[in-house]
Amino acid sequence: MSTRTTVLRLAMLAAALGGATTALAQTADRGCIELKTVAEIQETYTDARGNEATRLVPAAKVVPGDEVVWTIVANNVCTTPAGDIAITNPVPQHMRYVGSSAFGPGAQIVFSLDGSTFAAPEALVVAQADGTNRPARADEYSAIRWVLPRPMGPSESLMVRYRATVL
Amino acid sequence: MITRTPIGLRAALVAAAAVGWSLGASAQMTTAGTPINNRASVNYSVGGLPQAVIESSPTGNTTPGVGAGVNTSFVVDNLVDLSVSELSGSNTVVTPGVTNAALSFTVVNDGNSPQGYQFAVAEEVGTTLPFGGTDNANIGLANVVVRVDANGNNTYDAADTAAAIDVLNPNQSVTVFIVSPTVPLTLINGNFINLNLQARTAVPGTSGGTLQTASAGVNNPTTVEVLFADPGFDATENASDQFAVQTAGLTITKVQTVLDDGFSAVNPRAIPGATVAYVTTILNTGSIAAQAVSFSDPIPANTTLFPNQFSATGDVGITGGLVATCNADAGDADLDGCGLTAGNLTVSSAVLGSIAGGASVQVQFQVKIN
Repeated sequence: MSTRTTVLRLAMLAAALGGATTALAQTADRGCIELKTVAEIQETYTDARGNEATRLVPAAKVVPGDEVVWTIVANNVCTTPAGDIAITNPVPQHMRYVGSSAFGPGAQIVFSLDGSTFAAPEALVVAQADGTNRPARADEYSAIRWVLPRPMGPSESLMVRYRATVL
Repeated sequence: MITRTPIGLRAALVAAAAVGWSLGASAQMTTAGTPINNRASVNYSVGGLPQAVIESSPTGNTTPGVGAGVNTSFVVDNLVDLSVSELSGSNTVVTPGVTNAALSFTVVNDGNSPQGYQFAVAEEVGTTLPFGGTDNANIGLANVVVRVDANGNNTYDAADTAAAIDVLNPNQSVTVFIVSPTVPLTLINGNFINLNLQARTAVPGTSGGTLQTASAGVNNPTTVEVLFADPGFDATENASDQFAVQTAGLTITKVQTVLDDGFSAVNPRAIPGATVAYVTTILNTGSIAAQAVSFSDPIPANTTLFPNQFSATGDVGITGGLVATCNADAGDADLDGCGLTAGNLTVSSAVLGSIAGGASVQVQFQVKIN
Protein backbone atom coordinates (compact mmCIF):
# COMPACT_ATOMS: atom_id res chain seq x y z
CA MET A 1 0.00 0.00 0.00
CA SER A 2 2.74 2.43 1.00
CA THR A 3 4.74 1.53 -2.13
CA ARG A 4 1.79 2.35 -4.37
CA THR A 5 1.34 5.74 -2.70
CA THR A 6 4.96 6.55 -3.34
CA VAL A 7 4.65 5.71 -7.01
CA LEU A 8 1.52 7.83 -7.24
CA ARG A 9 3.33 10.78 -5.70
CA LEU A 10 6.18 10.29 -8.11
CA ALA A 11 3.73 10.29 -10.95
CA MET A 12 2.10 13.49 -9.73
CA LEU A 13 5.53 15.04 -9.29
CA ALA A 14 6.39 14.10 -12.86
CA ALA A 15 3.18 15.69 -14.06
CA ALA A 16 3.91 18.80 -12.06
CA LEU A 17 7.33 19.04 -13.68
CA GLY A 18 5.64 19.25 -17.05
CA GLY A 19 5.86 15.68 -18.21
CA ALA A 20 9.32 14.66 -17.18
CA THR A 21 10.87 12.21 -19.57
CA THR A 22 11.80 9.75 -16.85
CA ALA A 23 10.04 6.46 -17.52
CA LEU A 24 7.70 5.54 -14.72
CA ALA A 25 5.70 2.53 -13.78
CA GLN A 26 2.08 2.37 -14.83
CA THR A 27 -0.57 3.49 -12.32
CA ALA A 28 -4.34 3.61 -12.23
CA ASP A 29 -4.51 7.18 -13.57
CA ARG A 30 -1.45 7.05 -15.76
CA GLY A 31 -1.11 4.62 -18.62
CA CYS A 32 2.07 3.49 -20.32
CA ILE A 33 1.43 5.25 -23.60
CA GLU A 34 1.33 9.00 -24.04
CA LEU A 35 -0.77 9.72 -27.12
CA LYS A 36 -0.77 13.04 -28.96
CA THR A 37 -2.70 14.17 -32.06
CA VAL A 38 -1.48 17.15 -34.08
CA ALA A 39 -3.20 18.88 -37.02
CA GLU A 40 -0.92 20.56 -39.56
CA ILE A 41 -1.03 21.82 -43.10
CA GLN A 42 1.72 21.84 -45.67
CA GLU A 43 2.99 25.29 -46.46
CA THR A 44 5.17 26.30 -49.37
CA TYR A 45 7.77 28.91 -48.58
CA THR A 46 10.97 30.31 -50.00
CA ASP A 47 14.01 29.37 -47.99
CA ALA A 48 17.07 31.52 -47.26
CA ARG A 49 18.69 30.53 -50.55
CA GLY A 50 15.62 31.45 -52.56
CA ASN A 51 14.49 27.89 -53.17
CA GLU A 52 10.92 26.82 -52.84
CA ALA A 53 10.40 24.37 -50.01
CA THR A 54 7.55 22.95 -48.00
CA ARG A 55 7.06 22.62 -44.28
CA LEU A 56 4.28 21.65 -41.93
CA VAL A 57 2.68 24.39 -39.89
CA PRO A 58 -0.14 24.19 -37.34
CA ALA A 59 -3.54 23.88 -39.01
CA ALA A 60 -4.91 27.29 -38.19
CA LYS A 61 -6.11 28.70 -41.49
CA VAL A 62 -8.06 25.85 -43.06
CA VAL A 63 -10.84 26.10 -45.61
CA PRO A 64 -12.82 23.52 -47.57
CA GLY A 65 -10.60 21.76 -50.10
CA ASP A 66 -7.50 22.00 -47.95
CA GLU A 67 -5.58 18.92 -46.93
CA VAL A 68 -4.77 18.53 -43.27
CA VAL A 69 -1.90 16.33 -42.15
CA TRP A 70 -2.86 14.43 -39.01
CA THR A 71 0.09 13.19 -36.99
CA ILE A 72 -0.34 10.86 -34.02
CA VAL A 73 2.63 10.31 -31.74
CA ALA A 74 2.75 7.49 -29.21
CA ASN A 75 5.46 7.40 -26.51
CA ASN A 76 6.05 4.50 -24.18
CA VAL A 77 6.41 6.33 -20.86
CA CYS A 78 6.83 3.16 -18.77
CA THR A 79 9.89 1.16 -17.86
CA THR A 80 8.37 -1.95 -19.37
CA PRO A 81 7.73 -2.83 -23.00
CA ALA A 82 4.22 -2.29 -24.33
CA GLY A 83 2.89 -4.89 -26.74
CA ASP A 84 -0.10 -5.35 -29.01
CA ILE A 85 0.01 -1.65 -29.91
CA ALA A 86 -2.96 -0.58 -32.05
CA ILE A 87 -3.55 3.11 -32.71
CA THR A 88 -7.00 3.90 -34.03
CA ASN A 89 -8.23 7.20 -35.47
CA PRO A 90 -11.67 7.84 -36.95
CA VAL A 91 -11.50 10.17 -39.94
CA PRO A 92 -12.96 13.39 -38.48
CA GLN A 93 -16.40 14.54 -39.41
CA HIS A 94 -16.42 16.99 -42.40
CA MET A 95 -13.25 15.34 -43.71
CA ARG A 96 -12.35 12.70 -46.31
CA TYR A 97 -9.33 10.45 -46.07
CA VAL A 98 -6.79 11.00 -48.87
CA GLY A 99 -6.00 7.68 -50.53
CA SER A 100 -2.58 6.13 -49.87
CA SER A 101 -1.67 8.89 -47.44
CA ALA A 102 -1.52 6.78 -44.26
CA PHE A 103 1.90 5.70 -43.18
CA GLY A 104 3.55 4.44 -40.04
CA PRO A 105 7.06 2.97 -39.90
CA GLY A 106 6.90 -0.73 -39.24
CA ALA A 107 3.15 -0.69 -38.70
CA GLN A 108 0.53 -2.66 -40.54
CA ILE A 109 -2.20 -0.24 -41.67
CA VAL A 110 -5.81 -1.38 -41.87
CA PHE A 111 -8.98 0.57 -42.60
CA SER A 112 -12.61 0.42 -41.64
CA LEU A 113 -15.81 1.37 -43.39
CA ASP A 114 -18.08 1.05 -40.36
CA GLY A 115 -15.64 2.16 -37.69
CA SER A 116 -15.53 -1.18 -35.93
CA THR A 117 -14.21 -3.86 -38.31
CA PHE A 118 -10.81 -3.27 -39.82
CA ALA A 119 -9.16 -4.88 -42.83
CA ALA A 120 -6.55 -4.27 -45.50
CA PRO A 121 -7.78 -2.08 -48.41
CA GLU A 122 -8.08 -5.01 -50.80
CA ALA A 123 -10.43 -6.79 -48.38
CA LEU A 124 -12.84 -3.84 -48.06
CA VAL A 125 -15.86 -4.04 -50.34
CA VAL A 126 -19.11 -2.15 -50.66
CA ALA A 127 -22.34 -3.94 -51.53
CA GLN A 128 -24.08 -2.49 -54.57
CA ALA A 129 -27.74 -2.35 -55.51
CA ASP A 130 -27.37 -5.24 -57.96
CA GLY A 131 -26.04 -7.54 -55.24
CA THR A 132 -22.42 -7.49 -56.34
CA ASN A 133 -19.57 -6.03 -54.34
CA ARG A 134 -17.16 -3.41 -55.49
CA PRO A 135 -13.85 -2.44 -53.90
CA ALA A 136 -14.23 0.35 -51.35
CA ARG A 137 -12.77 3.71 -52.30
CA ALA A 138 -10.28 5.42 -50.03
CA ASP A 139 -12.64 8.34 -49.48
CA GLU A 140 -15.15 5.90 -47.98
CA TYR A 141 -12.82 4.87 -45.14
CA SER A 142 -14.21 6.04 -41.83
CA ALA A 143 -11.32 4.97 -39.62
CA ILE A 144 -7.66 4.03 -39.82
CA ARG A 145 -5.74 1.65 -37.55
CA TRP A 146 -2.02 1.16 -37.23
CA VAL A 147 -1.06 -2.21 -35.75
CA LEU A 148 2.55 -2.55 -34.55
CA PRO A 149 3.66 -6.17 -34.87
CA ARG A 150 6.42 -5.77 -32.25
CA PRO A 151 6.48 -4.34 -28.75
CA MET A 152 7.48 -0.75 -28.08
CA GLY A 153 10.41 -0.59 -25.71
CA PRO A 154 10.62 1.87 -22.81
CA SER A 155 11.01 5.51 -24.00
CA GLU A 156 10.38 4.39 -27.56
CA SER A 157 8.36 6.68 -29.78
CA LEU A 158 6.11 5.87 -32.72
CA MET A 159 4.76 8.40 -35.19
CA VAL A 160 1.95 7.66 -37.64
CA ARG A 161 0.41 10.05 -40.09
CA TYR A 162 -2.29 10.49 -42.73
CA ARG A 163 -3.89 13.27 -44.71
CA ALA A 164 -7.55 14.20 -45.00
CA THR A 165 -9.37 16.85 -47.02
CA VAL A 166 -11.80 19.33 -45.52
CA LEU A 167 -15.15 19.00 -47.27
CA MET B 1 7.32 35.04 -48.97
CA ILE B 2 4.97 32.38 -47.66
CA THR B 3 2.14 30.97 -49.65
CA ARG B 4 -0.29 28.24 -48.88
CA THR B 5 0.05 25.06 -50.82
CA PRO B 6 -2.49 25.68 -53.55
CA ILE B 7 -4.82 22.77 -53.25
CA GLY B 8 -7.39 24.35 -55.48
CA LEU B 9 -10.87 24.09 -54.15
CA ARG B 10 -12.42 23.90 -57.56
CA ALA B 11 -9.95 21.20 -58.57
CA ALA B 12 -10.75 19.34 -55.37
CA LEU B 13 -14.46 19.52 -56.00
CA VAL B 14 -14.08 18.54 -59.63
CA ALA B 15 -11.94 15.61 -58.52
CA ALA B 16 -14.58 14.78 -55.96
CA ALA B 17 -17.22 14.73 -58.66
CA ALA B 18 -15.01 12.60 -60.88
CA VAL B 19 -14.58 9.88 -58.28
CA GLY B 20 -18.23 10.01 -57.39
CA TRP B 21 -17.90 11.36 -53.90
CA SER B 22 -21.12 12.05 -52.23
CA LEU B 23 -20.56 15.48 -50.82
CA GLY B 24 -24.09 15.84 -49.56
CA ALA B 25 -27.19 16.90 -51.39
CA SER B 26 -25.71 19.96 -53.06
CA ALA B 27 -21.94 19.41 -52.83
CA GLN B 28 -21.96 22.13 -50.24
CA MET B 29 -18.76 22.90 -48.45
CA THR B 30 -18.30 22.72 -44.73
CA THR B 31 -19.67 25.95 -43.31
CA ALA B 32 -17.20 28.46 -41.93
CA GLY B 33 -16.92 28.19 -38.17
CA THR B 34 -17.57 24.43 -38.08
CA PRO B 35 -15.14 22.82 -35.61
CA ILE B 36 -13.24 19.78 -36.83
CA ASN B 37 -12.42 17.52 -33.92
CA ASN B 38 -10.07 14.57 -33.90
CA ARG B 39 -9.10 12.15 -31.16
CA ALA B 40 -7.02 9.05 -31.72
CA SER B 41 -6.80 6.14 -29.31
CA VAL B 42 -4.28 3.44 -28.56
CA ASN B 43 -4.83 -0.07 -27.26
CA TYR B 44 -1.89 -2.00 -25.89
CA SER B 45 -0.86 -4.63 -23.42
CA VAL B 46 1.76 -4.88 -20.75
CA GLY B 47 3.15 -8.27 -19.84
CA GLY B 48 0.51 -9.85 -22.04
CA LEU B 49 -2.33 -8.16 -20.16
CA PRO B 50 -4.56 -5.78 -22.16
CA GLN B 51 -4.52 -2.26 -20.71
CA ALA B 52 -7.21 0.43 -20.64
CA VAL B 53 -7.45 2.46 -23.83
CA ILE B 54 -5.66 5.80 -23.92
CA GLU B 55 -7.02 8.67 -25.96
CA SER B 56 -4.96 11.41 -27.50
CA SER B 57 -4.77 15.09 -26.68
CA PRO B 58 -3.12 18.00 -28.52
CA THR B 59 -0.19 17.96 -26.11
CA GLY B 60 -0.06 14.28 -25.18
CA ASN B 61 -2.30 12.33 -22.80
CA THR B 62 -1.43 9.39 -20.61
CA THR B 63 -4.63 9.18 -18.58
CA PRO B 64 -6.37 5.91 -19.43
CA GLY B 65 -10.01 5.54 -20.16
CA VAL B 66 -12.62 6.57 -22.68
CA GLY B 67 -13.29 10.29 -22.37
CA ALA B 68 -9.94 11.06 -20.74
CA GLY B 69 -8.50 12.47 -23.95
CA VAL B 70 -8.93 15.90 -25.47
CA ASN B 71 -9.89 16.66 -29.06
CA THR B 72 -7.31 18.16 -31.38
CA SER B 73 -9.44 20.82 -33.06
CA PHE B 74 -9.55 23.67 -35.48
CA VAL B 75 -12.40 25.62 -36.98
CA VAL B 76 -13.07 25.76 -40.70
CA ASP B 77 -12.23 29.24 -41.91
CA ASN B 78 -14.20 31.59 -44.14
CA LEU B 79 -13.39 30.72 -47.72
CA VAL B 80 -14.32 33.65 -49.97
CA ASP B 81 -15.03 32.59 -53.52
CA LEU B 82 -17.48 33.92 -56.04
CA SER B 83 -18.25 33.79 -59.71
CA VAL B 84 -19.88 36.28 -62.02
CA SER B 85 -21.20 35.27 -65.42
CA GLU B 86 -23.23 36.77 -68.19
CA LEU B 87 -26.70 35.26 -68.10
CA SER B 88 -28.25 35.37 -71.55
CA GLY B 89 -25.43 34.28 -73.84
CA SER B 90 -26.37 37.02 -76.27
CA ASN B 91 -26.34 40.78 -76.43
CA THR B 92 -29.30 42.98 -75.62
CA VAL B 93 -30.69 44.93 -78.57
CA VAL B 94 -31.68 48.48 -77.67
CA THR B 95 -33.08 51.46 -79.51
CA PRO B 96 -32.06 54.97 -78.51
CA GLY B 97 -34.62 56.44 -76.14
CA VAL B 98 -35.88 53.08 -74.88
CA THR B 99 -36.27 52.87 -71.10
CA ASN B 100 -35.00 50.29 -68.60
CA ALA B 101 -32.83 48.31 -71.00
CA ALA B 102 -31.05 45.66 -68.95
CA LEU B 103 -28.02 43.37 -69.16
CA SER B 104 -28.30 40.28 -66.95
CA PHE B 105 -25.57 38.61 -64.91
CA THR B 106 -25.47 35.82 -62.35
CA VAL B 107 -23.49 36.20 -59.14
CA VAL B 108 -22.78 32.97 -57.23
CA ASN B 109 -21.41 32.62 -53.71
CA ASP B 110 -18.93 29.77 -54.19
CA GLY B 111 -17.63 30.08 -50.64
CA ASN B 112 -18.63 28.46 -47.38
CA SER B 113 -20.05 31.46 -45.56
CA PRO B 114 -22.71 34.12 -46.25
CA GLN B 115 -21.32 37.17 -48.03
CA GLY B 116 -22.44 40.53 -49.34
CA TYR B 117 -21.43 42.06 -52.65
CA GLN B 118 -20.90 45.54 -54.02
CA PHE B 119 -20.81 46.32 -57.71
CA ALA B 120 -19.08 48.59 -60.18
CA VAL B 121 -19.61 49.04 -63.91
CA ALA B 122 -16.87 49.81 -66.39
CA GLU B 123 -17.04 50.78 -70.04
CA GLU B 124 -14.92 48.60 -72.23
CA VAL B 125 -13.15 49.94 -75.27
CA GLY B 126 -12.36 47.85 -78.31
CA THR B 127 -13.17 44.52 -76.71
CA THR B 128 -15.11 41.83 -78.52
CA LEU B 129 -17.58 39.55 -76.82
CA PRO B 130 -18.17 36.04 -78.13
CA PHE B 131 -21.67 36.85 -79.23
CA GLY B 132 -21.30 40.40 -80.42
CA GLY B 133 -19.43 42.97 -82.41
CA THR B 134 -16.46 44.96 -81.28
CA ASP B 135 -17.15 47.65 -78.73
CA ASN B 136 -17.29 50.92 -80.65
CA ALA B 137 -19.25 53.29 -78.43
CA ASN B 138 -19.71 54.33 -74.83
CA ILE B 139 -23.08 54.63 -73.22
CA GLY B 140 -21.76 56.91 -70.47
CA LEU B 141 -21.59 55.53 -66.95
CA ALA B 142 -24.05 58.22 -65.83
CA ASN B 143 -26.61 56.43 -67.97
CA VAL B 144 -26.36 53.05 -66.22
CA VAL B 145 -27.12 51.72 -62.77
CA VAL B 146 -26.74 48.31 -61.12
CA ARG B 147 -29.84 46.61 -59.77
CA VAL B 148 -30.25 43.31 -57.93
CA ASP B 149 -33.10 40.98 -58.86
CA ALA B 150 -35.31 41.09 -55.76
CA ASN B 151 -38.01 38.62 -56.71
CA GLY B 152 -35.97 35.95 -58.46
CA ASN B 153 -37.71 36.28 -61.81
CA ASN B 154 -34.44 37.05 -63.66
CA THR B 155 -36.17 40.04 -65.24
CA TYR B 156 -35.54 43.65 -64.34
CA ASP B 157 -38.69 45.21 -62.93
CA ALA B 158 -39.86 47.84 -60.48
CA ALA B 159 -39.27 45.55 -57.49
CA ASP B 160 -35.54 45.53 -58.17
CA THR B 161 -34.25 48.59 -56.37
CA ALA B 162 -31.12 47.47 -54.49
CA ALA B 163 -27.73 48.34 -55.97
CA ALA B 164 -25.83 45.84 -53.79
CA ILE B 165 -26.34 42.39 -52.26
CA ASP B 166 -26.74 42.48 -48.50
CA VAL B 167 -26.47 38.74 -47.84
CA LEU B 168 -26.03 35.81 -50.22
CA ASN B 169 -25.76 32.37 -48.66
CA PRO B 170 -23.20 29.79 -49.79
CA ASN B 171 -24.06 27.91 -52.96
CA GLN B 172 -26.77 30.47 -53.77
CA SER B 173 -26.94 32.71 -56.80
CA VAL B 174 -28.75 35.90 -57.66
CA THR B 175 -29.31 37.79 -60.88
CA VAL B 176 -27.84 41.28 -61.16
CA PHE B 177 -28.67 43.79 -63.89
CA ILE B 178 -26.86 46.68 -65.49
CA VAL B 179 -29.80 48.92 -66.32
CA SER B 180 -29.91 51.90 -68.62
CA PRO B 181 -32.92 53.91 -67.40
CA THR B 182 -32.98 55.71 -70.75
CA VAL B 183 -30.73 54.68 -73.59
CA PRO B 184 -29.10 57.91 -74.84
CA LEU B 185 -30.43 59.33 -78.09
CA THR B 186 -26.84 60.04 -79.15
CA LEU B 187 -26.27 56.36 -79.92
CA ILE B 188 -26.62 55.31 -83.51
CA ASN B 189 -27.39 52.18 -85.44
CA GLY B 190 -24.54 49.67 -85.30
CA ASN B 191 -23.14 50.83 -81.98
CA PHE B 192 -21.91 48.05 -79.69
CA ILE B 193 -21.43 48.93 -76.04
CA ASN B 194 -19.57 46.39 -73.92
CA LEU B 195 -20.10 46.86 -70.21
CA ASN B 196 -18.26 45.02 -67.45
CA LEU B 197 -19.89 44.20 -64.14
CA GLN B 198 -17.46 43.80 -61.26
CA ALA B 199 -18.59 42.18 -58.02
CA ARG B 200 -16.53 42.65 -54.87
CA THR B 201 -17.16 40.54 -51.78
CA ALA B 202 -18.42 42.53 -48.82
CA VAL B 203 -19.07 41.78 -45.18
CA PRO B 204 -22.59 40.32 -45.01
CA GLY B 205 -25.22 42.61 -43.56
CA THR B 206 -23.49 45.82 -44.65
CA SER B 207 -25.49 46.24 -47.88
CA GLY B 208 -22.24 45.83 -49.74
CA GLY B 209 -20.78 48.80 -47.90
CA THR B 210 -17.83 47.18 -46.14
CA LEU B 211 -15.47 45.16 -48.27
CA GLN B 212 -14.30 41.81 -46.97
CA THR B 213 -10.61 41.69 -46.10
CA ALA B 214 -8.39 38.64 -45.93
CA SER B 215 -7.14 37.89 -42.43
CA ALA B 216 -3.50 38.72 -41.93
CA GLY B 217 -1.05 37.94 -39.20
CA VAL B 218 -0.86 35.00 -36.85
CA ASN B 219 -3.30 32.21 -37.55
CA ASN B 220 -5.50 30.95 -34.82
CA PRO B 221 -7.03 27.48 -34.92
CA THR B 222 -9.99 28.60 -32.81
CA THR B 223 -11.05 31.68 -34.77
CA VAL B 224 -12.68 31.91 -38.18
CA GLU B 225 -10.28 33.62 -40.52
CA VAL B 226 -11.08 35.06 -43.93
CA LEU B 227 -9.25 33.57 -46.88
CA PHE B 228 -9.69 34.63 -50.52
CA ALA B 229 -9.87 31.62 -52.83
CA ASP B 230 -11.27 33.11 -56.03
CA PRO B 231 -9.10 32.90 -59.16
CA GLY B 232 -7.37 36.23 -58.52
CA PHE B 233 -7.34 35.82 -54.72
CA ASP B 234 -8.90 39.27 -54.47
CA ALA B 235 -12.54 38.40 -53.68
CA THR B 236 -13.43 40.19 -56.91
CA GLU B 237 -14.81 38.74 -60.11
CA ASN B 238 -16.36 40.27 -63.22
CA ALA B 239 -18.13 39.52 -66.47
CA SER B 240 -19.10 41.49 -69.55
CA ASP B 241 -22.22 41.87 -71.61
CA GLN B 242 -23.24 44.02 -74.51
CA PHE B 243 -25.85 46.48 -75.66
CA ALA B 244 -26.31 46.38 -79.44
CA VAL B 245 -27.89 49.57 -80.74
CA GLN B 246 -30.31 49.15 -83.61
CA THR B 247 -32.29 52.02 -85.04
CA ALA B 248 -34.32 52.74 -88.14
CA GLY B 249 -32.79 55.38 -90.38
CA LEU B 250 -34.97 56.74 -93.16
CA THR B 251 -33.65 58.40 -96.27
CA ILE B 252 -36.05 59.93 -98.70
CA THR B 253 -35.36 60.47 -102.37
CA LYS B 254 -37.63 62.20 -104.81
CA VAL B 255 -37.22 61.92 -108.57
CA GLN B 256 -39.21 63.93 -111.11
CA THR B 257 -39.78 62.98 -114.72
CA VAL B 258 -41.64 64.87 -117.42
CA LEU B 259 -43.75 62.22 -119.07
CA ASP B 260 -45.63 63.94 -121.83
CA ASP B 261 -45.76 67.52 -123.09
CA GLY B 262 -48.27 66.81 -125.87
CA PHE B 263 -45.63 67.40 -128.50
CA SER B 264 -42.73 65.02 -128.12
CA ALA B 265 -42.86 61.60 -126.58
CA VAL B 266 -39.09 61.27 -127.00
CA ASN B 267 -37.94 64.40 -125.23
CA PRO B 268 -40.90 65.94 -123.45
CA ARG B 269 -40.47 69.47 -122.07
CA ALA B 270 -41.83 70.97 -118.90
CA ILE B 271 -44.33 73.27 -120.52
CA PRO B 272 -47.82 74.13 -119.42
CA GLY B 273 -50.05 71.10 -119.89
CA ALA B 274 -47.19 68.65 -119.58
CA THR B 275 -47.44 65.70 -117.22
CA VAL B 276 -44.75 65.32 -114.56
CA ALA B 277 -44.32 62.15 -112.53
CA TYR B 278 -42.86 62.26 -109.02
CA VAL B 279 -41.43 59.07 -107.51
CA THR B 280 -40.46 59.32 -103.85
CA THR B 281 -38.49 56.44 -102.33
CA ILE B 282 -38.36 56.07 -98.54
CA LEU B 283 -35.48 53.72 -97.62
CA ASN B 284 -34.86 52.36 -94.14
CA THR B 285 -31.08 52.27 -93.85
CA GLY B 286 -31.30 50.96 -90.27
CA SER B 287 -31.48 47.41 -89.09
CA ILE B 288 -34.90 47.36 -87.46
CA ALA B 289 -38.29 48.31 -88.79
CA ALA B 290 -39.41 51.92 -88.89
CA GLN B 291 -42.98 51.76 -87.69
CA ALA B 292 -46.01 53.94 -88.50
CA VAL B 293 -44.33 55.74 -91.37
CA SER B 294 -46.41 58.52 -92.89
CA PHE B 295 -45.63 60.86 -95.74
CA SER B 296 -46.54 64.38 -96.70
CA ASP B 297 -45.63 66.23 -99.88
CA PRO B 298 -46.85 69.63 -101.10
CA ILE B 299 -48.21 69.55 -104.60
CA PRO B 300 -45.77 71.93 -106.36
CA ALA B 301 -46.98 75.44 -107.06
CA ASN B 302 -48.43 75.96 -110.50
CA THR B 303 -49.26 72.31 -110.89
CA THR B 304 -52.41 70.29 -110.34
CA LEU B 305 -52.62 66.67 -109.24
CA PHE B 306 -53.28 64.43 -112.21
CA PRO B 307 -55.80 61.93 -110.87
CA ASN B 308 -56.53 58.30 -111.69
CA GLN B 309 -53.12 57.48 -113.12
CA PHE B 310 -52.57 54.24 -111.16
CA SER B 311 -54.62 51.14 -111.94
CA ALA B 312 -57.12 53.42 -113.69
CA THR B 313 -58.67 54.76 -110.48
CA GLY B 314 -55.83 55.52 -108.07
CA ASP B 315 -54.38 59.00 -107.66
CA VAL B 316 -51.34 57.72 -105.77
CA GLY B 317 -49.37 54.57 -106.51
CA ILE B 318 -47.69 52.74 -103.61
CA THR B 319 -44.97 50.10 -103.93
CA GLY B 320 -44.00 48.16 -100.80
CA GLY B 321 -46.84 49.54 -98.70
CA LEU B 322 -50.01 48.01 -97.38
CA VAL B 323 -52.10 48.97 -100.42
CA ALA B 324 -51.23 49.53 -104.08
CA THR B 325 -53.22 52.70 -104.74
CA CYS B 326 -55.26 55.32 -102.97
CA ASN B 327 -57.18 58.45 -103.74
CA ALA B 328 -55.99 61.96 -103.00
CA ASP B 329 -59.42 63.29 -102.21
CA ALA B 330 -59.97 66.46 -100.22
CA GLY B 331 -59.35 65.87 -96.53
CA ASP B 332 -59.32 62.10 -97.09
CA ALA B 333 -63.09 62.01 -97.02
CA ASP B 334 -63.08 58.39 -98.17
CA LEU B 335 -60.80 57.42 -95.26
CA ASP B 336 -58.48 55.39 -97.48
CA GLY B 337 -55.40 56.99 -95.92
CA CYS B 338 -54.56 59.39 -98.72
CA GLY B 339 -55.85 62.93 -99.01
CA LEU B 340 -55.19 66.49 -100.11
CA THR B 341 -55.12 68.97 -97.31
CA ALA B 342 -54.17 72.62 -97.89
CA GLY B 343 -52.24 71.70 -101.00
CA ASN B 344 -50.36 68.86 -99.31
CA LEU B 345 -50.60 65.27 -100.44
CA THR B 346 -50.76 63.15 -97.28
CA VAL B 347 -50.21 59.39 -97.13
CA SER B 348 -50.91 57.90 -93.75
CA SER B 349 -49.29 55.00 -91.91
CA ALA B 350 -52.41 52.96 -92.72
CA VAL B 351 -51.12 52.97 -96.30
CA LEU B 352 -47.36 52.78 -95.76
CA GLY B 353 -47.26 50.59 -92.65
CA SER B 354 -43.79 49.85 -91.27
CA ILE B 355 -40.61 49.64 -93.30
CA ALA B 356 -38.30 46.80 -92.38
CA GLY B 357 -34.57 47.39 -92.02
CA GLY B 358 -33.04 47.68 -95.49
CA ALA B 359 -36.47 47.82 -97.17
CA SER B 360 -38.13 50.73 -98.91
CA VAL B 361 -41.51 51.97 -100.10
CA GLN B 362 -42.24 54.14 -103.08
CA VAL B 363 -44.95 56.78 -103.39
CA GLN B 364 -45.78 57.96 -106.89
CA PHE B 365 -48.10 60.62 -108.19
CA GLN B 366 -48.39 62.76 -111.27
CA VAL B 367 -49.20 66.43 -111.81
CA LYS B 368 -50.01 68.57 -114.79
CA ILE B 369 -48.27 71.91 -115.18
CA ASN B 370 -50.80 74.67 -115.14
